[in-house]
Amino acid sequence: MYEIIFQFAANQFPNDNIIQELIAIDYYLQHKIKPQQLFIQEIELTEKQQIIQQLSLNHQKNRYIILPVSFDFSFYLKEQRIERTTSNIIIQYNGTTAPEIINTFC
Amino acid sequence: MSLFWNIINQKNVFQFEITADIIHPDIIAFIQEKVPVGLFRFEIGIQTVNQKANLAVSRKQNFDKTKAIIKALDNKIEMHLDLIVGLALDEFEDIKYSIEEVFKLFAPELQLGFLKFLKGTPVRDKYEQHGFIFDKNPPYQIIQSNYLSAAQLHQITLAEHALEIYWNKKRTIHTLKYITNNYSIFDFLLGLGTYFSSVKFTSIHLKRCV
Repeated sequence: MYEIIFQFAANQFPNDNIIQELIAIDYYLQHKIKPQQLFIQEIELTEKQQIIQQLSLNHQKNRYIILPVSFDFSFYLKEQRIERTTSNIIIQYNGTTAPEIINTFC
Repeated sequence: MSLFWNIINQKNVFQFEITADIIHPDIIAFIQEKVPVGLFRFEIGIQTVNQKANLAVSRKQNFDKTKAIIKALDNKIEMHLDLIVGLALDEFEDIKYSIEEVFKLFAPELQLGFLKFLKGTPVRDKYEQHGFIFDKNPPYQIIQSNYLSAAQLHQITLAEHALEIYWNKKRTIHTLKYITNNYSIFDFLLGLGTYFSSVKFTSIHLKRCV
């Protein structure tokens, strides 16, 4: 399903990368367990591990994906406007309930 | 009274089919003050925002008021909104406008129903007046009219399919909200539905979609 909408959006809106990033975010938020990587690749493993440590995230109980995006997603959720900036979104998967975005940082 | 609170506390959801624009302000205040989030679900039949089409079926609706009430309550009440495709005097651009205006309310569920000519109903009795052609078999769904060609109806079906898969099934909420605020959501859904239908799927895949 996501590959179809992603291909469609890439063809119809080739200059709007925000749509593609939002499709990726929607995809990653759809699964209770950490899904295979599609559309946006996670940040490098060493950087990811540093962030998990810095934020004292429980990586034994949960799984995390850290996605680089080109806008402030928290700002977008509140204001429904795009503020362009390089930022990362941390999504937490516990395997039983819907995933949550636990942090976004620039 | 304890039975009433017992029922409420068992996490039941109560669904009401309502006419939103006649909800009294006291009811809105009561809901905001007393009703827990998620206890009620409102199904609101908007049908069309085209006043001429509403009046043709003897229906009065104040859409601005309906919108205001939906926005006043959607933090507490889950909204399910209905539109009907194929009403007399509703042309393709009118239907597109209705879909776009209602979608902007971002209700968790927006259903596009296609007009049906059930036996004994006024719409069936007067079908010739508007050039309606409908399926002779149940559910007697519209095929075309003086206002919508069969091809246009097919296009709306494709948009409806995309709406169901990507919005009502909550697969791409953030994406479609962004599209609504920056482009035409109807055009996007139509394009996506057309693209979707052109991709070859087995029937197993199609069943999984919906």
